[in-house]
Amino acid sequence: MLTATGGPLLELSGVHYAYEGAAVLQGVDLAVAPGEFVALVGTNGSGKTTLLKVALGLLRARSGTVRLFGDPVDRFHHWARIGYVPQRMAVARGVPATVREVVASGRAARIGLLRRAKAEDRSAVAKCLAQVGLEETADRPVSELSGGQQQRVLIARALTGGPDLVMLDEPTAGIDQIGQERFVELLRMLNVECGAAVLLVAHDLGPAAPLVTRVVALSGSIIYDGPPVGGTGLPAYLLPEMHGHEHGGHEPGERAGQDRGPSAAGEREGGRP
Amino acid sequence: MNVLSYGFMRHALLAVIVVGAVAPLIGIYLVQKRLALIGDGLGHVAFAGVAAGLLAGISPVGVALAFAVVGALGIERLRASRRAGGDLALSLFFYGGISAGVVLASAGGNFNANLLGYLFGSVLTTSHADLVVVGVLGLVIVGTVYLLAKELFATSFDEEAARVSGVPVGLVNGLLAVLVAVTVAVGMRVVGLLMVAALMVVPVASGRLLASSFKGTIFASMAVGVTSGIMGLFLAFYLDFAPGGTIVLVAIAAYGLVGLRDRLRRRREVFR
Repeated sequence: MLTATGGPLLELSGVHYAYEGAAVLQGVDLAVAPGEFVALVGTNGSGKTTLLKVALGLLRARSGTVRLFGDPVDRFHHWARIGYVPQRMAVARGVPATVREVVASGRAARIGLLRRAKAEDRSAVAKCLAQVGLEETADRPVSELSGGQQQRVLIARALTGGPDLVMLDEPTAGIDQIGQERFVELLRMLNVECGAAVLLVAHDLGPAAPLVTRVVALSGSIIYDGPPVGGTGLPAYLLPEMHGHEHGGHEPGERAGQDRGPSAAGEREGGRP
Repeated sequence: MNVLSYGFMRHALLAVIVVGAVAPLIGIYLVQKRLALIGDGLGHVAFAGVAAGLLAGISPVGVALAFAVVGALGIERLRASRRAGGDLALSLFFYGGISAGVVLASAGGNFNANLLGYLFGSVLTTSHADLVVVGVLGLVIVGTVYLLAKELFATSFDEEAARVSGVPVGLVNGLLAVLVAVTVAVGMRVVGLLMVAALMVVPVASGRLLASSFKGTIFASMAVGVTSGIMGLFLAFYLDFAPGGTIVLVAIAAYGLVGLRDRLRRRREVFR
């Protein structure tokens, strides 16, 4: 019923995207195959968050094609096969919600319109909570958790559909050392034990480096696509390039200061315009 | 003598209970989406509908409902497109509504106590027929939220993640917009168009401090809304105040108490 095995899970070809007149993506080709662990790296303004949103159908490419599991993204329906982990949870000033409520919301579409959760849905949610080690905090409000714990809530939410491809947007920004180690262990389980392909968007490889099978460097277009090289994952000749765009243009969903660790956390809570 | 031996008070009490429950039930999603003031703007738009209805000699509540539904869907489109200057466009919408209402009312010679009743509420004049309308619309709101609870939560908590998980976000947002409009129309009798948004939002401000889950917040907010409605109505009756304003002031006072309790509790935790 879906793509024959072996076809790419995600396929972008010739994707262009412009934001308020400024070109952000200029002819991006990228395919992710089953079981791969791809790190998409780039500086602020390199277009990596935009690329992820275009790949998920949240932003529409100006030209080029985006396919998920072989289907054009605007006609794709098997969303349970995709797990999406956004940068952070929007909890500030909102209404309280427990860890279990947030995780269960990931399964809403799979349960279906006008239907209510059954025992199997509840046990699937409990299993995802256990996978990320949050069973004991399941009934606490998410606003009381640490940044690392909140990140695991978002991962658990992405897992409730049983995805074959998990896409994460800068998940380790602002998370402490222990949180990062737990996070990497989770990614290992997802990729190696569950066999899901992973597309990790990040400033650099960071703690996930040992898991990465392929590095894609983005700077408006793809400037490197291959196996990780050395400690940074990138060939030495590209390193100056990767740091020369620090003050580049803005893209939707990626605001200035977002990559600069926990000190910028306070500014982020204002939400999107 | 028992207050409830007055027929108008029985009608008023039932109307207040329905609106006190339903307004925060919808308001909770608006607070979650940081659209707490949308209800206020839609009240302005509905005012144009009331004036148009009075001018045309057809049901002001019905026309107001139609205006509010169209306005809510228009606002939702603006919001979803995230166009730059969106809040300016919203203010054009809202002030356009209230000024059109003023002009239409003056053109029809309808600047009178009747019009004030729509603006500030006139729950004591709730007729049996009004009560049926309020009850039916209230049931529609509660039923829709019950059926779409998980989609409404997913969408208002994280719209992008909900979309990527396969929730029909556009449909859910459109339905929520219609529900807000219906709530404005229902609340207009009780607290008036200028204060209906307060009843959608203020009890939620208390409810979120009383509960730690989303579901708990829904029930706590509804309980606060109903209690404020009943207490406000009786206070207004005995003190001869306007019920609409009294109900909203009681809801604000309740928030003051709940907020104080929350603050004391936090302080105790710090010193423990």
